[in-house]
This record gives sequence, C-alpha cells and structure tokens, in this order.
Amino acid sequence: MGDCSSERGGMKESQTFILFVTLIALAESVTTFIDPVYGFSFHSLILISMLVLSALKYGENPISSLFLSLSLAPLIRIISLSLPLAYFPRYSWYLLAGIAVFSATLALMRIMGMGLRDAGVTFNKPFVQLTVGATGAPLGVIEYFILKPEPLALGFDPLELTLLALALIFFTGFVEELVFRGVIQQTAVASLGRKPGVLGVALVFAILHIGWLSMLDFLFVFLIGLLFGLVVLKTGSIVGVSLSHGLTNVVLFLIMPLLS
Amino acid sequence: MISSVTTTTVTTVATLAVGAALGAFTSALLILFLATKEVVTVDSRRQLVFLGKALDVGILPLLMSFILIVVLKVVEILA
Repeated sequence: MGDCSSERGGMKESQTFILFVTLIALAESVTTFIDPVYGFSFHSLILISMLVLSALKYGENPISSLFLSLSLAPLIRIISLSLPLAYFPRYSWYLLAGIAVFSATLALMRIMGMGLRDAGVTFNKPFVQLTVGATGAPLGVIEYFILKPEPLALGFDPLELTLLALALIFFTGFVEELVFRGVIQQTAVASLGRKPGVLGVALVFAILHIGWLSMLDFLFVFLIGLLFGLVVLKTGSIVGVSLSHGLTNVVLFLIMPLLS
Repeated sequence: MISSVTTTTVTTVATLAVGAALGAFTSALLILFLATKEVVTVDSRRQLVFLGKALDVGILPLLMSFILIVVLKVVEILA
C-alpha cells in the first residue's frame, strides 16, 4: 500500500516535470518565433510557478529541490533577454550573462545547502576528465558545420582571442555545465531516477538551443547533453564536460570561423 | 527578432520598442519579486520563509539587469 502510494507520488512528480519541460519548450518557441516580449512573460510565469511549487513542496525533498533547480532554465532566458547586451561589445556578453547566471546558481545552491564539491566541481579521475575535455575540439568542428556561425573575433589579435576563449570556457562551459549537469541533473536524478533524470535534463538543455533554428543542432545538442550527463553520472565531476563544452564553443565561435 | 549566441547569451536584435518593453518587464518582475519577498518574510510558516529565500534566485540577476539598464539610460541622457 505504501509502495503503491509512493509510486503514484513518483508518477505525479514525473508528470509535473514533463509539464514544465513542455512549458519551457513552448516559451522558448514563443521567444524565437513570435515575440521575445511574449516569450519573456511566458518564461516569467513558468519561473514564478516553479518557485511557488518548490515552496509548496518544501520538506518533500528531493522534489522541492528539483523544481527549485529547474527554475534556472526559464531564468537563464529571462536573464539573457533582460540584459541590454546589444549596447556592449560582443566579447563582454559572456561575462555579463555569465556573472548573472552564476550568481543566481550560487544563490540557489546556498538555499539547497549544496556546495561546489556537491555539484561536481572536483577533479576526480584527472585523466578521464582531460580526455573528456579534449572531445570539445571535434564536437566544435561538427557543430560548426551544422550552424556556420559568424566569427566572434574581428581578426587574429592574440589578446582578444585569448580573452574571448577564456570567457567562453568559463562563462559558457563551466557555468552552463554547473547549471545543467551540476545542479539540475543532480536533483532530477535524485527525484526521477537516473535514466529519466539524465534524459530530461538533456532535453531541457536542447530546448534552450531552439533559438538557433536548426533541428539538426537541436538533435546534436540533445545527444551531447546525454553524453555529458552520463559522464557526470559515472565520474561524479563536471570538470571534464565543462572543458569539453567550453572548447566546443571556442572551436565553434572562434577558431573555425577564422579558419574558413 | 532574437539572435542566439549560446545557451546563456541571447541578444535582441530588435527595435527600440522591444528593448524598452523588455526593460519595463524586467523592472516589473523585479518589483514583483521584491514586493513578494517583503510580504512572505513577515510570516513564519516554513513554506513562506522558503519562498522568500527562493525569490533571491531571481532577484539577484534581475537586479543586475536593472542596474545595467539604469546606468545605460543615465549615460544615454548625459551623452
């Protein structure tokens, strides 16, 4: 009887999680295809719902933590839309958006009583981490041929390229992996189980790439999200996937466009 | 129109009206969060205390955006 009711509770949690992921996908589609202002409002409503739900479920961990951590997904889009990035040079976008997302993530981790080590910021199995990190180069080349983005750097200025590379590695690689694999995946796996947790977070990660308007990139990012999720699950560290993610972006936005 | 750069970085390549609307919505959301935080923290029920803390997750980055928007507006006026 107890098992049956807990199973029903688990089903309900999974359904609520699927509902929120669907809502995030809709909000992201509205942002991309209709109007960023409507998208902003939609994401804001999802964020408020998640925070209220996580408070209502307070004491029922890990489900409260799951909805609290998942609130980072709509918050990322709210932050990126609210920052007046167009007024700043492109290299500073990562810094501004990264600091805002990083501060929100740290605040969230403090509320959940999670330290950086708990979120996988540990150099376990250094050889494995470096090997995983090196996969970023071929992944960046593949994604370049999918998206063909415009070059971030204006020329071959070594200082500009170095600063941009460091900003990409820390503010996109590390911060995004801390959010998705370090915080959201950990709470998703704890409340939904390993397979649904990793799958769900990879899907949310891919959904936030809808803005690229490429189905192929959506699938590519989803598969990479799954791969990164499995690596973090196996190694307990986000260092390797952060390096890989950062390196992918360096190759995708800096190196390949300049070489082409 | 939005231009996607990375997951966390999206910029609006938009009209002034869209930029102004996003700024207004950012300010409204920040005010809503701050006002809700003030209201819920006077209550000692643990769910409301938790909600008050959870709102900080949104307040921090929105405050950063708000400050940046205000600074840019001031610079625009002074320039």
